[in-house]
Amino acid sequence: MTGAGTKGTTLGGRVAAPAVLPTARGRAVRTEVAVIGGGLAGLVAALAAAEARAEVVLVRRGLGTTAMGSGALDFPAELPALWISGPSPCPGPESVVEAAEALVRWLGAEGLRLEDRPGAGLSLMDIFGHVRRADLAPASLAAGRVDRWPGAGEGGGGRLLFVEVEPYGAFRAEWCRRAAVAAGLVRDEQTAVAVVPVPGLEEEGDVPAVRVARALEDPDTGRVFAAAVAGRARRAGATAVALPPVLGLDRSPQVLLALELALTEAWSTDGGRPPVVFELLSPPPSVPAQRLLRALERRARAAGVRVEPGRVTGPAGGPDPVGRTGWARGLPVGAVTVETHGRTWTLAARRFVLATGKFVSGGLEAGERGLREAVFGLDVFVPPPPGWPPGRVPAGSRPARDLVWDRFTARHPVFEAGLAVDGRLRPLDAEGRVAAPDVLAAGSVIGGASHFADGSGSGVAAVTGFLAGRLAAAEGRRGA
Amino acid sequence: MTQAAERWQARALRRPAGVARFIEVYRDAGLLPLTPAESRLLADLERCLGCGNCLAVCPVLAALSPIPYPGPRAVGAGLSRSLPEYRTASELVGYCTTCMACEEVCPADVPVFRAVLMVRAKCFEQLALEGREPLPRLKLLLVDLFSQGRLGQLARWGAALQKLAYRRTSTGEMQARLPLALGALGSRLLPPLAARPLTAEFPGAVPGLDPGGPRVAVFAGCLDNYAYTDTGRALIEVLRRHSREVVVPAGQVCCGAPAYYAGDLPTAYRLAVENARVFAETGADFVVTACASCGDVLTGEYPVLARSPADPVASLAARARDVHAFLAGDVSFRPPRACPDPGGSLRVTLHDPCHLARGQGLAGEVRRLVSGLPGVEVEEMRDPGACCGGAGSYALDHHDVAVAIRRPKIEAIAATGARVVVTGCPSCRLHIADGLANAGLARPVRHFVELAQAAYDAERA
Repeated sequence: MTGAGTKGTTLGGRVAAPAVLPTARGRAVRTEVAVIGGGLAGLVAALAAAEARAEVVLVRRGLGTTAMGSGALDFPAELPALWISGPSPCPGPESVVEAAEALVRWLGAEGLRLEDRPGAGLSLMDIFGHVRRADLAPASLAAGRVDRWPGAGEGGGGRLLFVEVEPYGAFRAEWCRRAAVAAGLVRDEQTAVAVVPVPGLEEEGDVPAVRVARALEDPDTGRVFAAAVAGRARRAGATAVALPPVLGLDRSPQVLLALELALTEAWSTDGGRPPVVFELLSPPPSVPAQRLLRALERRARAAGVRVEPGRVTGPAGGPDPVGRTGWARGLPVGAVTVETHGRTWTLAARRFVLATGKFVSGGLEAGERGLREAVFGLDVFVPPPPGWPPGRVPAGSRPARDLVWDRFTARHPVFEAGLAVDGRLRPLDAEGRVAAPDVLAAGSVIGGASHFADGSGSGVAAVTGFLAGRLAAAEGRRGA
Repeated sequence: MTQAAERWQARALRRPAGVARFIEVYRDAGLLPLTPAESRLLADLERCLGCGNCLAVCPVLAALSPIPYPGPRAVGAGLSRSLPEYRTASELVGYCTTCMACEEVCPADVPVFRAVLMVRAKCFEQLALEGREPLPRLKLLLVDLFSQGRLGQLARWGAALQKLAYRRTSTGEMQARLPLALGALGSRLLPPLAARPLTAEFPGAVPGLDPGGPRVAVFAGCLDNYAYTDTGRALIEVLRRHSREVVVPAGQVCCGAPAYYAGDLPTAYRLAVENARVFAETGADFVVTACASCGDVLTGEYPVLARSPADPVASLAARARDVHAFLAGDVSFRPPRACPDPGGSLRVTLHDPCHLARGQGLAGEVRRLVSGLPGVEVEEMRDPGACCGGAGSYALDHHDVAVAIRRPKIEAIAATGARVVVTGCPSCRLHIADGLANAGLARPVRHFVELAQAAYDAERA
């Protein structure tokens, strides 16, 4: 009889128990490439690896942190200087183009059209009336770029209708209208507001955005809603209609289409051009960001990636990265322990892509003992103190209080914290040695960039994810 | 105080001295000491952003209107931080079907499912301490049916009676001849009680066909042992082809799921210890079950219940397998060479039981196995992983909710051209079969092993 923690033995001289012990998911899962993290970096890495014909398992806790975004991507034409050392220190512009093209292609295959290009610098408004910058955005958001609003450019006519969707409480059309007028984006007389209820949800008080989005996916509900919006738009004489981003989750193209059909019909009597419909950005976790992640995940599954919910707790053999017994620095990790719905299981792989992000997603943890990398306990670096030569220093060598400034909008060093990697994206220790030869890092867990200050988060995630996925596939495929 | 309540109270007070003292002092204030694991869980719950993603996928919220259940967000953020009124709380968390869908859309990784289980256990413990009945009467009866082994007694005496009052439907369930007797529940289909349980049918070791294969013990599970014995026999038949010997130990008891999910952890642990003893005696390499819920508890919850890594309960967990996991991972599955249907082709659709797909992560294995049968074509239904509402005794003590949750599932099945619904859970099977019968759709609901057995039989013919 074999118990947990023992190595395989033969029973009656015939059957050997598995060498990696079965755990709560019934048994250990083995794969060529294991991706840890289901945000933008992790999904892009998984897709890139799967396209390179590797067998891929992706483990993600809940939704990736990309769901905490607006769904519009900050994607500069050139990446900031990440802590990547090697022959070519930072992915160049050609990598940016390649990753962006792949992303557009994958999302397009799932019916989600991404518009514009890296470095485009679109100005989009959110539901509170603030203008935000983005480079790549789903078509429903990109249609709302403020330089195409009524009153802007040639002619300058037209009218913008802000539609409040009842009972989605976070968006107040009148506030947003006033903010837009105050910012000088549109003249007061060129605006109007309307309130349109979602049939079936009227009685429910303040409803989360996702619930509204799913309700509108029902064809009948969507039709009634679209007709109501078209009616209000016709009465207001609108040339553009702004809605909060709740127009469907997985079937947003159909919801948008119903809306456009209703508008075309309302305008059919006088032959004029029906208004443009767009969604405003919203705070996290936004529906457009979830659409994006869900579409990428569907694509990944379709490409053969096995997606498993769960939290990777550390290398197999030790529950805690500090007190582990199963893995020593410098050696391959081999297998990790995963916890899913409170049950633990083992995932063995030839290459691991660590795409766990920074603080919000839990890739980096900040506590009394400073900064640490959560899964493997890898060395974390921070920018050097002011006056030092540029580069990085181990996180422990700089007091934690120095990593955050008093001024909220400052460039806080703590957000540049992260791993340092070699040219093949393998994490390095404080002495510059490879910490684990079978681990590649991708996304914001790599240090050097501040996604807030640099406006580069999605670009860094997609580009490093793409490179990590390809490298991991090339190195991890059996027989490779 | 009833006799049962006294028993619970005595058990709840049997604690280490420090804990007992804490309970004595704070009992009236409704404060129970937290274990370290529970403290960590509470810290995890603080990550909740209040975004409401969980509310959009909760099958109970989608089915209920108006809503007495506050939903996973309130469980995560509110209920678990203060339990001022245990009775109210226990009724509210009783609405959860433990489908785990909420955890998979949570951007903050809040362990809602664990929180529900913790709240239930705390409610149970507190009410027991107060000397009150810790569960509603019907729920207690249902839990006892399994955890006290009463289903076996009921089947022994009730099988003949059931044949008098019920008739067998074309799809294998039992339907009341006079459905008026018991109100809403009276017209409900029941599983066919077996006069002879599976364990009695196979008292000795069954020789396997693979001399180089492992030695396998069958964990029948109450429903397959006392009711759906066809599934049990098919399981043994399939296992025989992939092992050198199959045993069905007679002393096995309920896996503990009904007690565990009701919050009665001491009873669940008692059953786990008994099973660990019985299966350790068999010396089998693997303990295999065809019940998704049993398998999930054996593999996923026994490690949680185990008091140390050396606990025999943990070593049973390490050897336990759902049959899909066993066939897809531990042995190389030898698919039959014939189609399970005499016509040579069979279109099926798959319902993913929550505790098989989300609990054990086996949705992919199920698909590979089912579509590997000759002539079998899988037509996916819409949202195959959506909870059917069965959830064990939930279908009886929350009957209206369970039926409402089931509606989209039946519509999804009806929209396919499948002749058979395949699912790996006897509880889902019963609830879905009942829904199909009510909708006038006579499509049988079967386990993969039954399809495989039919195919092996066809191969011989």
